[in-house]
Amino acid sequence: MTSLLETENADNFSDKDKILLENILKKTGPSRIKYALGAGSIITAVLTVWLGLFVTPNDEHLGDTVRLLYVHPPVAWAALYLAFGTTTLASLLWLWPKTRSFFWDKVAGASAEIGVLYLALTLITGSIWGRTTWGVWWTWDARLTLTAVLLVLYVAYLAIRQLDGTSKAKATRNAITALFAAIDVPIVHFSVLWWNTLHQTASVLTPGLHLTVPLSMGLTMGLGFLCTTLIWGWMMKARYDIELLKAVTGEMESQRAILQRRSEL
Amino acid sequence: MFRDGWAVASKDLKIEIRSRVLAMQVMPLTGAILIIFGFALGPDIGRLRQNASGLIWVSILLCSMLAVQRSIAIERECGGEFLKLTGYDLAGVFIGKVLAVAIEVFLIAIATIAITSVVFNTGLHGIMNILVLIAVTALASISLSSAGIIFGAMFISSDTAETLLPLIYLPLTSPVLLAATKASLPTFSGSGSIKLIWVGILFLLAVAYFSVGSISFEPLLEDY
Repeated sequence: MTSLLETENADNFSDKDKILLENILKKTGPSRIKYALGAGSIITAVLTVWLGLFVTPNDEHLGDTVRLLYVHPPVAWAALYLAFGTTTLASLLWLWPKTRSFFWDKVAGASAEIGVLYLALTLITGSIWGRTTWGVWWTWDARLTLTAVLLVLYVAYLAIRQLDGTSKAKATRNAITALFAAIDVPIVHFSVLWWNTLHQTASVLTPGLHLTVPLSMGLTMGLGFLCTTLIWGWMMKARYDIELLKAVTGEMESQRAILQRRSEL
Repeated sequence: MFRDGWAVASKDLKIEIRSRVLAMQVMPLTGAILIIFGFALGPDIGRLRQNASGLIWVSILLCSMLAVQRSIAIERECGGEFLKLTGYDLAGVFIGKVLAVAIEVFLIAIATIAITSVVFNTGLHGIMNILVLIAVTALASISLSSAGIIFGAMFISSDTAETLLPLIYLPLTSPVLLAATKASLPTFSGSGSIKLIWVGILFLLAVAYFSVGSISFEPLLEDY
């Protein structure tokens, strides 16, 4: 990151800008929290793979397909509730006048991007599950269809984020789109109850918090949830830093262009 | 607020009655869509009846987008200010725009259902089912118009409004499409009984879209 000021781009910045940029680079560069989240993500991912593939038993009926349980529900949870939940909350905090800050817009955008990635993984792993258990890669099941619709919605949200406008107008536009998109999340959640779906309802943990699978499977699944959460945190920090740098350099470019135009007049 | 809303709705509806775009262009379009579906599915009347509910709501959804675009075009012609300079309460402006589009969508739905009963030979089965269908159509109209007005206003000055509006509007309103199709299925097919859970879901969706639209409209216009 620090090499930015040592490249040919360095000539584009004034001394004042360079000091500001150096401070931002220090803020967004390597940090303890980044290292901790990164290390945690890698350790939990390796442990999940090891336990999932070599320690936990296969299922009497589903065979090795059951091992998808250690990936599919954790990525679905991270997409639907963690990532999109954060986007919705951050969008509300932008729209609420007392908490309005561009920080929330950046957080919402970063989390939505990761959510889209996780949701695509949810559909891919779900499709593999479907092929082995239902015999088809895709079926017009309500849960699957609504999840695909949700993916398109958040892709549209990311497209809307790229539109031009003032920073304030863009952030408001983003926040409103995120709130509308969030209406689909509970519909996806309850779809297995409202429709007759092939997709099963929650079955690993009963409402009374009783585990219906062997402890080793439950623990591995729990580790999968922790892993996707840590990876989300790691990517959030990295993505937020990039957004911050983009905003700062964009503002500097604008200021430089205005000064250049003034000097020409 | 409600007086302002009624004034805005009356203005939009009067413009629509005078321009006759809804009657002369949008309503014939819904007929064209249904006939194309009929061609695509073939002459099997049983299959057409079975799928009538879904086809009707897809037609209504596509035509509702045109109603939204018409409503936004009226504001664009006036500079895209959404009557900000007239002193009208912005919440009232939102209610008025939504009400006008919802009435238009309701009329489109009636036309669509009437055309379907002729070309697909569906008919309407049961008084209770018809009453439920009216409620379903009203609730769906509110959801579609609330979401449509917000995103129409959002892209009013964008060069890519024609592509962006369908990109967000169609997936966003697909839960309304699914619930409305399920709720009106027995009315058109004549088999099975109405499950009121779908009407309940449509009610919740109408409340959610209208509420989010209400809290969004003012900041959307203020920050533009």
